[in-house]
Amino acid sequence: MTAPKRTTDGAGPAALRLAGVSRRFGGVTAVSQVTLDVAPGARHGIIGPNGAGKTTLFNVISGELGASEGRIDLFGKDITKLSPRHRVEMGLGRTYQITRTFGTLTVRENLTLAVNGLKKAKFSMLRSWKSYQAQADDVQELAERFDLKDRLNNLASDLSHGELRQLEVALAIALKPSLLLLDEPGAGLSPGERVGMRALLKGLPQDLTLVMIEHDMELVRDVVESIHVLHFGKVVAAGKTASIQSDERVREIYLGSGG
Amino acid sequence: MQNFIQQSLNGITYAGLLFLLGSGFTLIFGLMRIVNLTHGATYLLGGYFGYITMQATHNFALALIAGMASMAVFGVLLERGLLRSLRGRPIPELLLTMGVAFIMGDLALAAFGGNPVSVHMPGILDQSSQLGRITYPNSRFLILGVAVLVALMLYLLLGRTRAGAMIRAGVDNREMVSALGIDINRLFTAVFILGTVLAGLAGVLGASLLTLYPGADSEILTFALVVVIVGGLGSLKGAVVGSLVVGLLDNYGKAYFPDLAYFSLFAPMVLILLWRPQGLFGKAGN
Amino acid sequence: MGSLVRLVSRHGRAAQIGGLVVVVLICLAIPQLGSSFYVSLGLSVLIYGLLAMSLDLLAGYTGLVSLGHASFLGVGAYGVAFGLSHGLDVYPAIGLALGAVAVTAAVFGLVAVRVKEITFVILTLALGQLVWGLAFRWVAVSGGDNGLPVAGRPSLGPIDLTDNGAFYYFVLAIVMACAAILWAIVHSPFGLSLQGIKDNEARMRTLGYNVVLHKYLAFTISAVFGGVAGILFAFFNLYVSPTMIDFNHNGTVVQMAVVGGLGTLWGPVLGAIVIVLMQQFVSIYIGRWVTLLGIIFVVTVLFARTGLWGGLRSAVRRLAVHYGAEPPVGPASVATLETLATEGGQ
Repeated sequence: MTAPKRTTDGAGPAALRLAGVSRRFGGVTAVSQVTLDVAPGARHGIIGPNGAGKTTLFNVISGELGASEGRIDLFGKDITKLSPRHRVEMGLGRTYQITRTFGTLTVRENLTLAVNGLKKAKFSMLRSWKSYQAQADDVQELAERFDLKDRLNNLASDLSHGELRQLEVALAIALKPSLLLLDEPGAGLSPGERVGMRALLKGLPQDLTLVMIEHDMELVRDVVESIHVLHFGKVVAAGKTASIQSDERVREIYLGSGG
Repeated sequence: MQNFIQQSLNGITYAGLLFLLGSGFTLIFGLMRIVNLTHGATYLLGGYFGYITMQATHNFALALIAGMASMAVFGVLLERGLLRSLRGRPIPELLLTMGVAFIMGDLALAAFGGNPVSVHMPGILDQSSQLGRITYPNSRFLILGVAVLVALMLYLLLGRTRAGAMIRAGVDNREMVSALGIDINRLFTAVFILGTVLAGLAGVLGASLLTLYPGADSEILTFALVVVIVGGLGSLKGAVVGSLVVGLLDNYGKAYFPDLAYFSLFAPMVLILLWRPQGLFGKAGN
Repeated sequence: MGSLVRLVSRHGRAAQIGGLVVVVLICLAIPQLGSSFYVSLGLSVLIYGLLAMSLDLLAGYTGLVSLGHASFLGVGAYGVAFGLSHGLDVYPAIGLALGAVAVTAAVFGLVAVRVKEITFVILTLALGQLVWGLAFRWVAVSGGDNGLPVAGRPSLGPIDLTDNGAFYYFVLAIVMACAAILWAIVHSPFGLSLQGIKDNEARMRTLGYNVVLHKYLAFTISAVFGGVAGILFAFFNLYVSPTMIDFNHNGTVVQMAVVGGLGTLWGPVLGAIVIVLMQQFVSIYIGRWVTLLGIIFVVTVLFARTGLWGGLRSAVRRLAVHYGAEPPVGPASVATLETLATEGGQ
């Protein structure tokens, strides 16, 4: 389990450290004894066939599901028992494989909700949310960065699939996380949209630590440096992207399960 | 002490009546996610139909059948006629049943007036039995007996039959039922009718235990709601335990703190919910 | 016609303000019609309008449909009546009523916001029935079935409010102030967070929101405004009884909001106007008011899913498009019954 050292400035705590993390549902073990280290600023991929437990692992890291056993550290602090909200406050952001934006609200409202998420202003009751200039600027900036500025007044439910994926990432980025979990950002995108998403991911701030689940190996190769391979909830291989790609066992798993 | 035993018996027989209502309510919710607020009005109308039949024929068995049959017809009409077009949208479904409950309650008032009516059970059922030093009306034993019988039948239906297996599967996982290729429309209608028939039966029995009057519908509905909230929505076991808790608490409350009767019922409900928001036997998902 | 529509849709903001001015003028004019009947009708509309609006904060914006909202009207009204009949002056009695509402809301809210949408509906119905049951049975406090008289109205310095005309303006001022506050709340960051919660509670949690706390605040605020309506109701009606908070009345409040259009704030007021007027005028010809109420309910749920306000809004949009104007850009989200708890099982 060697995490590649990407940062030069040395021996600070890992951005994310999982130690023997498992999650069981009744008799089924969806995630089994997963251990991994992600250095600050690293770009890390998690791959594996469908049903390998990747999204469950994300849910355990984000706190939406509890861990049945093991320990999770975020930037050196034990977060195993913290609620999802507290993990967000500590700098953990995530996106979802199935887009979870607010369909009944406009893009502007979506982004404002995210920008306000960690601000005291979210409790403000008597002033229009539109009158907060700093937040409005943040929203504008996000919209430009994620290519949504012409769509600010549209309902999220009116966006194309590609635009929804961009909004999904924008919502997570709005909270200025230090560690971002990306759950299949390329899912369902057309080849053209994929190019845009790749550029978008590569353009994320260098100090942001990324952990990404992805099936599209091209996207994985371009964005991440190291990979863990999950199969039936277990880590079966780990290492640099290039070495994993040529790993026989990994090929077997992918070919064998048809995924 | 004698009084306490008396109150406990009353509580248990009242629990029997509540179970007849609560079990149907909870099954309908469990399978279809419909909160059927006509359940109280179904009870009241079923009771009134039993009452008319009793007046006309003086045959208690016929009265029971009339209460159940009329509400079976009503159940089909409501489920197939109105609710089907709203399938899968819980709040509109609930609001619709509330509107129908208003109409039913008001029409019952128009038809039967404001005075309480009751059904007297015939023959031996109208007498009392001696249990040690306690004299207790046979009619109440009948209600308890019917409730136990129904509970047993529901248990067997759910546990031992193919239809029951489908219902259980549907309560656990609704997508699965459609995936299994079960005719979900027929299953839904059947369970809905089962619920309204049980409410109609409860109405005729309640007509002898409690009398029927305008407003009895929303009152009994409240008790049924508390039963399923305490027991846990969608759980038959919850309906049994919930009925007992509510039936007993209500009777102790009425006997010992008559002013605060409702409070003695609701305070425990609030406490149970603070401890377990999904009710005693409910699944966390609900 | 076409130019008017274009004008209105191009200057949406101005049209809104213009409409508001017209409404205020109508409200101001009612006592000048010289009929005490219209004044008391106006009072009913104002008070129930406030009640329905306060419910909308919870039902329309947060997605929590309460079937026990009339309870807060009841607690407010009974609080005033109880205080006055126990020797309190008017303003202390109002304070007592507000306190009682706040405590009730704080306790009910504690339980209610912890359960899922559909259980919330059932639970609030049950809690509403609890309040009704106490009003009905706890004779020592509530006067039971006979209710309680409300002895006296507040006075504002030299202005005597025992006259319905002056009292009307008093109520109008308070209702408008409350409406303004509610309007501000739904347009604030907090109000936006409520809409986010209604749309996707789980996502809000992962955006850093304490969803339960926000729901709790919404519940309490909504209840307090309902309580204010109750206090006004007590002084208007000068008598409180359990009937005003029974199952039918709890349902009627929801109906006002639904008929008018949830999540629009003004819609529920429109709904209150329609229902109060119908009750007054239609029930003269049709003896069975409650049956009619039930029928309206069923028809609204089946056929008019966005309520009157939503219907009006989309009609304006259609007209605007028809006459070649840009459709007005407004708050894009009209809560329909669809968007509420479509996944109650989740």
